Amino acid sequence: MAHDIHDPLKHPEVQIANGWGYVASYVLSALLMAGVLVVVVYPSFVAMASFALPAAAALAVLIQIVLLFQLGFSKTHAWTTISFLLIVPLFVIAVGLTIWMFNSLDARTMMAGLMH
Amino acid sequence: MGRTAGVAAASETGLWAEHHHHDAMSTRTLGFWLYMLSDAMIFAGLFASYAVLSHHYNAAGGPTIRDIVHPFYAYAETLMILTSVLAYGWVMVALKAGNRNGVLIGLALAFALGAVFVGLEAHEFSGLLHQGIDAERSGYLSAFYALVMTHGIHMVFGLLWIATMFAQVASQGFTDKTVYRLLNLKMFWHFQAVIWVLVFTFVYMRGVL
Repeated sequence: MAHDIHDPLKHPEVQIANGWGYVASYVLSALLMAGVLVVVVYPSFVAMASFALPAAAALAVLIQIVLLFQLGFSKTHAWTTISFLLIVPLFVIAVGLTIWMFNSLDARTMMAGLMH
Repeated sequence: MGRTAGVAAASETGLWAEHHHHDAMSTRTLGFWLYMLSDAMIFAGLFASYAVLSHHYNAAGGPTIRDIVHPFYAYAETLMILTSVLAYGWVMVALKAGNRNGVLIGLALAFALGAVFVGLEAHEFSGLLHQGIDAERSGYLSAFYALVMTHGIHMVFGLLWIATMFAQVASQGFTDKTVYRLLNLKMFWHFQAVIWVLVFTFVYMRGVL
């Protein structure tokens, strides 16, 4: 038992490695990004782009978070997951609020008409 | 007195070292994870500025993404980085099995594929710079280069780190230090793939529309 504790390879973060999870993440991410490519390149799919691009990116990121980073609420990764969840609102504020402010800028300022 | 001596003894060995030896590794990986999250905030800032400046008005009559990006070339870059991350997955599976040669082969593959990605990106940018399409041309291109090159610089440092770990695992084997460094490098390398998925989708592909 003492030997197990002092063997770094027995550490739960080493033992959590999951080969099939990595392969699944690879295949799904590659397919989702191929889907994004198809939507952008072939004119018949372009109408879907405003929905399909964010959806594919969000799904690919989620797949990588679950299958590569293996975030979850196991004892090993509880704090990793909690710190990640706490920073998500900061991403939303930093990126979402900035885009929202600048998108509505021309309606609210003297820049009206300039951006078109 | 007894308490002071106890604290002194604990600080020499690490508070967690005696009874919960594995926690030293968990503390280091959690610390690096928090660093990665702050690094992600840098990318959030760069994505926000790109989202604002990627309007054609900010191109100042110069080229936009549609003029400078080839979607299939960008997808080839995507496949390289995803496959490099898969090779690092091999490293983790070999590490779990205590297979030193497997770890070294995985690191070599991850390095080679990552180097191809950096090479493709360097080729892409040198072509653009050769045509005078540089960051000074417009606010649009400044935001583009700042975001994509920040990711590219991360990739270069990741390659340096992979090469370092190759040498350390080859010379030292699996010690506490080499194993937690491999775990941290895993987070760093996987993080680059997550950022690239966002760059590919929202900068390259959205720009081609």
